Amino acid sequence: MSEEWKKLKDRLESGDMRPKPSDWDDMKGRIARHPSLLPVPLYKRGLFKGMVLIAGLLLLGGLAWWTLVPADEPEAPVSVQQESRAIIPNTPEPAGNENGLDAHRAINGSDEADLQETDAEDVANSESEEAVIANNDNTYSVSNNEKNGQETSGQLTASLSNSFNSARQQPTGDSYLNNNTAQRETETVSLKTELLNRNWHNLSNDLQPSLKLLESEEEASIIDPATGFKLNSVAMLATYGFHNTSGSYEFGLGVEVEFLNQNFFLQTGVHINAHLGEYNDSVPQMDFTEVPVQRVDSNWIIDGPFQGHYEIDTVISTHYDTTLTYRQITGVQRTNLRYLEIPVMAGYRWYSGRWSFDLSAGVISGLLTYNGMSDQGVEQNNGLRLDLALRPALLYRLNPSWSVIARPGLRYTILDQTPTAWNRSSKATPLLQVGLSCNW
Amino acid sequence: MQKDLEKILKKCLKNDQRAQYDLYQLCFERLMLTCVKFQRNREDAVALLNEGFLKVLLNLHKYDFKRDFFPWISTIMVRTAIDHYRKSKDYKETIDLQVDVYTYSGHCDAVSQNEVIEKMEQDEVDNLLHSLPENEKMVFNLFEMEGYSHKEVADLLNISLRSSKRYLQSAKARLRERLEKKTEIKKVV
Repeated sequence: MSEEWKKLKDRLESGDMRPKPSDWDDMKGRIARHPSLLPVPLYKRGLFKGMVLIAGLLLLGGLAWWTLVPADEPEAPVSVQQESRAIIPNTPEPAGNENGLDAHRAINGSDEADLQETDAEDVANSESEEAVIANNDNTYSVSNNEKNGQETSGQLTASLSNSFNSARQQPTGDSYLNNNTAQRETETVSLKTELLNRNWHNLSNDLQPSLKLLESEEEASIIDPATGFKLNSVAMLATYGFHNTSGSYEFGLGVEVEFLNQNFFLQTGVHINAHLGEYNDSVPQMDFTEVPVQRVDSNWIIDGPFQGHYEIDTVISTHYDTTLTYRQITGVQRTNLRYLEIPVMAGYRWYSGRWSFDLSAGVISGLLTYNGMSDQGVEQNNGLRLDLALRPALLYRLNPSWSVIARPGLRYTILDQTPTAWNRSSKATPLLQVGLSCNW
Repeated sequence: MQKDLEKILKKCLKNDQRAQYDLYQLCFERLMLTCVKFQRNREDAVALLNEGFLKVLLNLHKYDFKRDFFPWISTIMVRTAIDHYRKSKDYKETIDLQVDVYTYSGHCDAVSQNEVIEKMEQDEVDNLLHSLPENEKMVFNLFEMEGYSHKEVADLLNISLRSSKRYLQSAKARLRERLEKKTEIKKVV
């Protein structure tokens, strides 16, 4: 640049060049009109996709780990063991009056035991062993009178009383004392054992529902995990579906078999489904009417300087005037299509007592076997239909062999070569299947 | 500064709106220097600038981070101004039909010329340039202000090399004449 214009340039650039807020507003509007410059939505970002992938892997890993826990290490028996540990007594101590009191306290409650403990302390002051025995006998007799209604304490008191009465009939002296002490030890141990058994029985009664639940779960998981998928059940199902946009509905019957491996299952089978519906259709009709028209040639014949005439004598050609009539007949057409459908589903099952919840997904392929539509060609009879399906299901086990199934599902058509393909503005169809399943 | 700019540019590549705003603020003054030479009003200059900045954002993925950023956006801005000129004017017809060259036989030395420019108001300076015919202004801007050669100007404006030289000569003659008049007025005053 020559020097003479440099000054002009400097002066031009010396103006106020700072941006104003309105400038950015205009720019923002321009950016907003370009979708490629708009912020990427969260679900399209790589980080989000990565996190979803990691979460999915963790979920699958956790699910796999949870389902692959060996069946012989259930959690419920562990809790039973913990419960029973609380009532298992320590090694039996040398028998005495206190042992009997402990046992009696355990049965009759702390109040009564306190009363007996007071009695036992009085007895301890006495030097006579027989007096002690007699006192014990009285104590248990009193407790027996107080607890007439309680079978357990009555029986136990009776047994104690009998044992002590029999002990009282032993001859006096050292041998009697030794024998008597040993016998009381034995009886106390047996009494504790009996008590333990009774408590265990009571505990068993309390835990019976849980144990039954465990047993039922063991019954349900009849497949050995090590052997993979095994044929588990056969189900007979009735299907009903409604296509909201086209107004058509479908119903059918089918049989499915299920292969189960722990909680994972595969299902396949055969369904015969009929698709019925009505739709408005218009049929165009075209009529042709041809009228022959003859063209003739005419010549002007000059007769003289100022006169002449036309001479029409020659037929040049004959052609037809064509009239085209177009009519459109609108009427209600009925759809009647029957499909042979084969679902191939994979899923997972959760158990909760008699109830089970399934979640399965897969592909349903359908072959058109009957076309009851009068205006459709025969060549479309073998049309193929392919759907993706999601089928959550609820099962209730009536008994170990039979279960009731209810499956509200959704199928999404990805391929449709059948005559009703044009009539489906929405490709999703809700379905309901109910049926009976035979398990073994 | 360069690292900050790189951060902003990388965020802009991810369509971060905050980064787009930052880049706009950063580039505005530099781009405005180019735009005021091609548009008379500030509003028109900002509209041109926004058009150019949009092209910068749309072509940011083509930018080579090893090169200097501001010359790159200045080039885009100049090309945007040329595109705008092509759209707004039927320039080809004007260029082809106009054959006469404006000549000025007077004398105006550089020193007095600079003094006059120095003493002019900002509006007067703007009017001085923008009073030129559009094609002459484009050639003058590209050659004298932006530093393009006649060959490049001819290619950019799709005119012949001779036309480029002729328009530049005319533009300078007109500017000199007006500056001379301004000088005379100043002397009288």
